[in-house]
Amino acid sequence: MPVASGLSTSGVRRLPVRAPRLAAPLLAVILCAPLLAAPTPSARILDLLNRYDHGDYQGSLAELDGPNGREKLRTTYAETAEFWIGATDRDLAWRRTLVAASLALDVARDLRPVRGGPWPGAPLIVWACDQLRRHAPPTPVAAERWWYLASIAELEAHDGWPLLIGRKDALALALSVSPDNSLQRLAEREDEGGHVGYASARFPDEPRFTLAEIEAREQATALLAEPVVTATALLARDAIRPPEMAELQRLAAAAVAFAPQSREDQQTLRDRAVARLSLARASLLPDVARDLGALARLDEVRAEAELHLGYLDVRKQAWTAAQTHLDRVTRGTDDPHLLSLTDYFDGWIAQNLGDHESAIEIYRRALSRTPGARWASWPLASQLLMTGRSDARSDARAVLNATLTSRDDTEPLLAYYSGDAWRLPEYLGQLRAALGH
Amino acid sequence: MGCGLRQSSELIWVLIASALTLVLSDPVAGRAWRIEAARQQAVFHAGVNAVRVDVSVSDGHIPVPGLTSADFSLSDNGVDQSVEAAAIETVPIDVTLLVDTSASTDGVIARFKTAVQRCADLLRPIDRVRLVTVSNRVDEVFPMQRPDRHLPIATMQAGGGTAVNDAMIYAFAWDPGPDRRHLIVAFTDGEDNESTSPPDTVVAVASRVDAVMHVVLADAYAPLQRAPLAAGQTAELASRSAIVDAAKRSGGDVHHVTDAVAAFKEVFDDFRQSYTLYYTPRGVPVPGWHDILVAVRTPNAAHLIVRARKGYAGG
Repeated sequence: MPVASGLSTSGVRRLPVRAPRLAAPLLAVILCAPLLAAPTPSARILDLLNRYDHGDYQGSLAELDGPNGREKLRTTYAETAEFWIGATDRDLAWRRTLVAASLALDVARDLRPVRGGPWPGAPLIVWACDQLRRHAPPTPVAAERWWYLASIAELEAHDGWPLLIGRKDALALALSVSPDNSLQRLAEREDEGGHVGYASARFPDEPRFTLAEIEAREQATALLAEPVVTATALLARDAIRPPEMAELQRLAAAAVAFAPQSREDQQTLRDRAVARLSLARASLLPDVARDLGALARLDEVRAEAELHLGYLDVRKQAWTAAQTHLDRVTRGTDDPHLLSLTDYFDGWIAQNLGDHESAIEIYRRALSRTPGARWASWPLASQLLMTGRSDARSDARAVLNATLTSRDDTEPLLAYYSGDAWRLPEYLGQLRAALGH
Repeated sequence: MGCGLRQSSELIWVLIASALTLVLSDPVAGRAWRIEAARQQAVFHAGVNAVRVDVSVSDGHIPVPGLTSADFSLSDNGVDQSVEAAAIETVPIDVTLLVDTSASTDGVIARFKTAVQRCADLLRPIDRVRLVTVSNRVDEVFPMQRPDRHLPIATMQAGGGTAVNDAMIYAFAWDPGPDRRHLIVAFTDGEDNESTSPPDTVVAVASRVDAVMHVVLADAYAPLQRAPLAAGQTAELASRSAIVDAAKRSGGDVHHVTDAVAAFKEVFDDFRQSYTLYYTPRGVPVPGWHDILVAVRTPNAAHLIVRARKGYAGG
């Protein structure tokens, strides 16, 4: 991946590989540990940690994917891992901390929320981050950087935005997250700056951490922060309109049960959410745009910063300015993910300008990049129908029929608002490589 | 041009086919048709840019028969046009039944299946029908086919969200060809929560494609009466109001009834007995959007309801 591979690792110390000769005594300590410590560590987790430490990533992951996989480990993982880290000398404790923190990412990432609740993997990441901070040597190591990148991507994939920015942007948290959200309660225990703040403290020159922090603030202004999210035409609904402040403040303050049953109460909840979003947009986006502008001067993240600047202008219906930023993305990257998002926004601009032919060309190009994508095929068909051409209907019908059987239901705006989630596999791979074995 | 019959030969063929069909299928209407068609063919010479407009005229719920081209006034982008032919439309009809099978219809899916079969039974052998279902996905359950063939509807089941905007775009993309008309009847609660297509796109497409769409909204999902929110309507409500708008712009309407078959019968009868006006635009540039305004100028015109699509895109 162009961006990740271009990141500087200068000044970052390589992690010492675990010394094999210590394995036997350590194993003895571990095996004896259940007799000495209370409560009893999980033998299964100890086995997983040791296999992971030996580089048996495939075996460990297969075990996690099995019938007694992640869910059964979740509640006891931290306790056993802390025992495992503590059961060695000071030199190896840091490596074990990194190993345990890395395995925590693998345990957490496929955990599923229960009945619409928050992502249960978040506490594991908070625990792992706490361990890293506790055991970190003065000089950061490469694996640590990859761990932070992967953990941020994992939180972004699971709407863990409050944790990412901690209490630094209390306004954003207050506006975007329900008081009942346990992720926010978790975030309130974090230091100023949140998870990204810890990462930046260790790697102050890493622009991806700055980008993550900005994305977290931007996300707080997005439609997706609504408590009742529907996936209809997200681009249209994510637009920024001049707020009517008095009305918005009245609606934002409306009291309503968190899980209202009546349609009237549900409507009030939605009104309040929309009002809060509008207030958040008015308050936060100017600074977001300013900070993105600064990031756009850095080669490592220029394309992404320009993409975000472009979309901010799309939301404001500043089509020409948006087009300028998106053109810079197209010229500056060959990354399929970023180009696909650029097509998405470009198509939206063209159709809002009533330029059917340009929109058709853009959506056709998008379909050639991502065959079967609903987000491109339906707008393409609509634009074809709106041309009034005699052959348009058969063309549109062919486009749609080709998509009906497609399983690609990707909604690009959801991907856009998921930060680096799409890079998670790459980050985990780099993390394991940096751990060595 | 979205709907124009570009060749006069096509138009004459349609008129002849219509006349033959009517004569064969309905002797009483056939007499009326022969008189009207003979009178109009004597004077009608369609140019290459002839435009066809389906017009429904009713007195309450009762279609008004017997009107001629002289009884209609039509303006294209504000310029009065000469209606060159008005036919009681009897050309074959392609019917798209669009059924919302999202989770909210779970309790009524069995009735929907029966309703689909009974709706098809109301069609004539010359008509065709297809079934499109929509939940979080759009599916063509069976393609356009004769109504007396077996309808494979057993697999219909409820579940998921509603991508009704997308489904309507899909329905409008059907091309019936020059010798048939397209009627879309959508049964839905109108609350979209899964579509890629924004509500206003449905309205724009409905305005530009010469299919007539009627929407049957189940009473159980009657619109929530609220003033529009300053910061914008919720997606579902915006979707429903757009669906209403789209239906009206296509020349159709919205019906709040509990009996889907009765609603379909009313829609189909109305559509079958609607008029088709033909005119060749004069005094307006061909390219661009054309607003159409159709009115009836009979003595009792004030009591009549006239529905026609609101315009078309020029070539």
